[in-house]
Amino acid sequence: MKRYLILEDGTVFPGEGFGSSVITTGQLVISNNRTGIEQSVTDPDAEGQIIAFTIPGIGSSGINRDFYESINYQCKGVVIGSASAESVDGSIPFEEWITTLKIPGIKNVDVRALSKYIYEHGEMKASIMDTHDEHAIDQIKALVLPTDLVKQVSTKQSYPNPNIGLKMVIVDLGLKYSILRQLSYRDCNSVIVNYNATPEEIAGLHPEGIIFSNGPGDPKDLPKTIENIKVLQKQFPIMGIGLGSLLVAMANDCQITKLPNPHHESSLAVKEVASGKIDFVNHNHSYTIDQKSIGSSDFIVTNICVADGSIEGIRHEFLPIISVLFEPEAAPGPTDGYYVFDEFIDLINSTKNQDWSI
Amino acid sequence: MAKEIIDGQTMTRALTRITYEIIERNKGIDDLVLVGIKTRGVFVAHRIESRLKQLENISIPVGELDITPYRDDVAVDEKDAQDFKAEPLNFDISNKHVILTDDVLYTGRTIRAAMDALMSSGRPKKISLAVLVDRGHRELPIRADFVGKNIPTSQREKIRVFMKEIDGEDKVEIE
Amino acid sequence: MVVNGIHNILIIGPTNSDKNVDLSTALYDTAQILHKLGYKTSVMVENPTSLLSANVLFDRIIVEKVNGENVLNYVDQYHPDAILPTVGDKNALGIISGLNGKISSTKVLGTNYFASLATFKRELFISKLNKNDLPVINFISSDDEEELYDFIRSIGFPIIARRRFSNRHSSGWTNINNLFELDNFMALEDSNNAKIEIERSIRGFSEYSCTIVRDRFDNASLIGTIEDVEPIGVHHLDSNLISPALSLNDSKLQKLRNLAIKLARVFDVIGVCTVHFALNHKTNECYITEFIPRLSEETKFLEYATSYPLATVAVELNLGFQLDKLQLDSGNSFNGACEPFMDHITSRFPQWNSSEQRYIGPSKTSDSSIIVSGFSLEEVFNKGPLNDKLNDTLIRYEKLHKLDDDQLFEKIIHPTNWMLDVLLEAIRRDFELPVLSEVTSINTPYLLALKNIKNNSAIIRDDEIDENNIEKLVSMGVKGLGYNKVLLDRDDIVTKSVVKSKKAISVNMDQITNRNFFVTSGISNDLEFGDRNKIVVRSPIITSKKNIMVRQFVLLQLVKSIHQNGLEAVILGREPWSSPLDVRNIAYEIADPHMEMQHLNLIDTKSIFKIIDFSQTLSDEDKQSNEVFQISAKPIKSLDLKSDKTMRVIVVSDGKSFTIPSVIYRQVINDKSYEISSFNKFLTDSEKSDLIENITNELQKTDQINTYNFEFSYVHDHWIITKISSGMNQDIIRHELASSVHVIDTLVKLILGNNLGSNMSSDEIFNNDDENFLVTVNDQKFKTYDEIGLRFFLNNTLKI
Repeated sequence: MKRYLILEDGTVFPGEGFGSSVITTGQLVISNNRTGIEQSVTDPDAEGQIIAFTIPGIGSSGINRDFYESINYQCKGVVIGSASAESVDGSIPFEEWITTLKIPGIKNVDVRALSKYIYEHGEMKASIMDTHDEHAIDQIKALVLPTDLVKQVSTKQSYPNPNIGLKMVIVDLGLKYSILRQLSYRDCNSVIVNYNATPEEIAGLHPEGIIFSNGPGDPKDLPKTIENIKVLQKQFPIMGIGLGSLLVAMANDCQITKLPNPHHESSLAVKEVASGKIDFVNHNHSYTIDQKSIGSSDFIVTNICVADGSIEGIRHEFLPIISVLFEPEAAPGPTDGYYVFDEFIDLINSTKNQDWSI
Repeated sequence: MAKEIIDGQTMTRALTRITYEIIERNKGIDDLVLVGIKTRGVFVAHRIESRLKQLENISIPVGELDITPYRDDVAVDEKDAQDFKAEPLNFDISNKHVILTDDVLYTGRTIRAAMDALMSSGRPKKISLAVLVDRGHRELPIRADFVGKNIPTSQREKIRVFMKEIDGEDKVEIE
Repeated sequence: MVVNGIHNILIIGPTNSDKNVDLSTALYDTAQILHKLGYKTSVMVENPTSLLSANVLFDRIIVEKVNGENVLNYVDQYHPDAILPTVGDKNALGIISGLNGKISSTKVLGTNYFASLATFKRELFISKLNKNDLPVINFISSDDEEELYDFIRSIGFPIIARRRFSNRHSSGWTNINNLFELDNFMALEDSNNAKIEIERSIRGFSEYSCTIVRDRFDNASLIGTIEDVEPIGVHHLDSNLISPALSLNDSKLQKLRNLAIKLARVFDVIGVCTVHFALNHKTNECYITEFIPRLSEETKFLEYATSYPLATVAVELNLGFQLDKLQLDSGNSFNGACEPFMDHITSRFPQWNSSEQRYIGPSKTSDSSIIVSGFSLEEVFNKGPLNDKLNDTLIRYEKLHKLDDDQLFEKIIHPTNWMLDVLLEAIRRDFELPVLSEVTSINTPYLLALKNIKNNSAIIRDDEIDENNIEKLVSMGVKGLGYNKVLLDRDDIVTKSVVKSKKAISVNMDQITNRNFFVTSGISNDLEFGDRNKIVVRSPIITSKKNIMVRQFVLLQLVKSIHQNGLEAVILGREPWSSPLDVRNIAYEIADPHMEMQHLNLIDTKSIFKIIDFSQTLSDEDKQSNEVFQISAKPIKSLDLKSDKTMRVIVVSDGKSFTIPSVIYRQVINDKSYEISSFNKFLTDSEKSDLIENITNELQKTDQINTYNFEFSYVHDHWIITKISSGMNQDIIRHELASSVHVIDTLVKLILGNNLGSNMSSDEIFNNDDENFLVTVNDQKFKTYDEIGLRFFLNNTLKI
């Protein structure tokens, strides 16, 4: 059945519909992830997004439901090029899977032309529709994207991920389950709380470390969380991932800028400044920390992106804060970044016996 | 039978972590000076220095201390030597925070000799100790401020540190 | 940063064997970057005409048999600082593995003695992997019967076995599934203490390969993955290959990536390393089957597929450069720390010279390959192996159609080189996909793609193409539909034939510049031309190794010459030309398997200055046209006269006058043949005027710009013309390589409108400044002489 992907400036990309037949609108994101459709679609970062996957032959590698990154996925739509209806391991075919998730999809789109267009004109809203007349285009322009994306995905109720080890509190801004997997692997006794949990509530859980997770949307939409960080960082070691790390930076007077070319790839090189080591890690972010504001802050830059020099990791000069903009938990992507979790645990252990609080 | 207990990557990460901790504890890198002991302690100092340079874009001075046992004809195992002497440092450390670095911390006697040498070369503001491996069995009240790895060992076991600069590869073996 | 103390490097080049991978482009790239970075290089080759561009790039060319003895002699005599074996195929690694301890201070770049040895000695490979917790299949190599049978009992059937002879060569692997086959294998004649090697069979596992690069600081990057359509049991290079590996999900991909990097670390390979895996999707068993720490067929394929400058990066890493601080020439820095992303499929389909169907197995039988790019599996199948212009699929269909179901099934169980055609026929007969997948161990997505092809070809056969299905057919790469009237008549935005760039859009790929394109389907073109005038070069598919070399060589010279003369070169071919790095961003290269470019009207005809065509036959339209210049050798005359003395002469004519830049002299004495290049200086005046007179007579009839090949034979004390052909034949490499006169560049200048002088003297016509002369003995051994040496040789050996 013919459907169209219509961009907010009127450009039309035809294709064939599959999955749910509803009309959908969202922020269009071009993802160059080489693998990991399951993770990308269920990633809470995809809240409100229509993701265009540029890899060919989607579906051949199969769908593994153990790889989900959240339970309540909110991806608004999926745009792909060629797909395969059968997989190597006999798992549920890709198109059928998207249908069970009730997500609208469009295939056989010229994703090369699409990504080239977005690359040149910047990320924009888009819609998957059945017609491409004037009326449709006006509807898209009129739509205002929600600014409460984190509220939609953050857990309403605190819940534990119990274990016998370091006590961690994770502030859920749209966290990926793989973060919990990595913490479990390191025996961390975790509690996951809502993004608006107050410093008192969090302190009452006696954490040894607090993690601000990844999530969807613009960091400027979360002023309260930023205030919370300012209070908490004086008492506890903090780790920021993705959106969480942008908030940590803003809580310490750094500015956020949009990346000229957003990073949506499962394997981009990141260099550890201190040792010069290059690791390949998963990136899913459109924002970064402004270079100038870092200079005047109390942060040291620990990681930069090799391809475009943007800041990917920071660490506070005297407070125990580690922050990375990439996804150290991978899922999908190379596992070179797992060490960040080990670093945070080392940090917690070494600050335990020190008197560092201000 | 020698067994590798720390591989190259772990060693590199440990050195990076020590570097961050030094910056955090010192609240910056003002007045820092690194002094490395014997052969491999000096390489440790240089590696920390190069990381500090990458992170803060400032060069920290690196000094070397040559600690030898008073009786030169005896094997240089800390446990056997009677006592140590050190060449004084020709290097200004007054009012500086000196970070003494070594590869392995064992009885503590080498460190004590190092501190003597430092004290007789000037009046440092503070002396901290950074080691790659702490293997326990202290005979003097000395502790490391920055430790790469704590490795429990029996007195009979030997720890060997290999470093790329001199041994061609990075690793720590226990035997 | 770079390893110190290396200034001159000995490169171990290719042998003359036809079995070698053609790494001429990679060797050129390697020499080019070394030259630009200021290193002195010498190369050891058996056949200097296999070098794409000799004199300029190498400081010394050593023409010798490429073996350990000669390499040692060179090292002892000239003391190079380092040896580079990575461009010399298996042979070079074999030489390195024999050099341990004998070359004192000379370093070996890229791969060390131990790693090289491990590629030959399986026991070493297996024990090293076992020691480092890398998954590998256990293996035995022994001549003790009891040991062998004990081992077989412990691992059970199925197994594979081969014999390893004392000179390190081995027979191919044989599949053994039961006692009967085992007895047959053991009963074969054993020659000189051959050891028998046996392994558990992983037949039926899916085969993958990962190519990584690693620098000396242990930064490693995955450059590409390749998936075999056919499972283990069919040689990797006899299988249809697909990149990227579509059937790997995230956890399998990361597993293979981590294993490959760990293996490179374990063997301390600094440079490029390809690792092969066997993976069972049902049981998740995964084994490393081999590793290749050098440039190979896989790296050549991936360099084109991913647009990553693999050969150049590899040698820089060998020299100790850091992965993100590389250089593509002495000015431009290049960040090599990227894992290239491909948003389309590139595939390699093997080709066999014979049109007969034959069985394939663990040993390589294919003769060449073609490369096709596309956005879907159906597209690459249709443009590649099921493209009847390449594979006579219609004839195959007819033959297979006649077989009954049992006969067809036999061809399915015992894989042949017509595998995809056989499966297509089976699917036509409604054999079920799960059954086929089970029997052949070919993964279902491929079978499904074939089924889709079969469903849609029915539409074409029944002439039921309409608005609803034409887009689908176009996207499947069905020939010729992309500019069909049905599409062109529509206002709607539709999928039609377009030209897309080989580079995917990604943060990483910004810095990689090339102008490689391919024809596929979509809604818009990526092709953007500059406004200079163009010369379009059309190159056909070529399968013979010699002709491939000629095409590589001529295309490179043509492109350089066209560029230097101020025009743009556009290379159109059914399959891509893997060009050297330094022309990748000056020449447009368009892979067009169905020859659709003409209908797409993407090149403004006004800006096309000339079309140079390499094909054997031109269309009638082209023959009439003034625009098309045919460069392939066309015979004009041939006499059947034999003589012991012959001369082959290349003549460049502008229609009025001509020059003779290069003469190859051949003489047979005492059953030995001698061929001498650049013989111009040694001709007598009377010989010169003889030749000129003969040629003038022949060329009177034509007024065309062209090159001609004349063969003269010395019969009855006269030089008589025995063969004439126009265009360029295999001799072009010898003529151009050896000579200071650039035939191809002269030809391009003539095409552009320049003229040769008129009334040239005999010396001017034969003018050639060469100082080195190549002598070939018995068409196999090559030797170079300077002028004095050659005169001596001529006086003594040939008695001239």
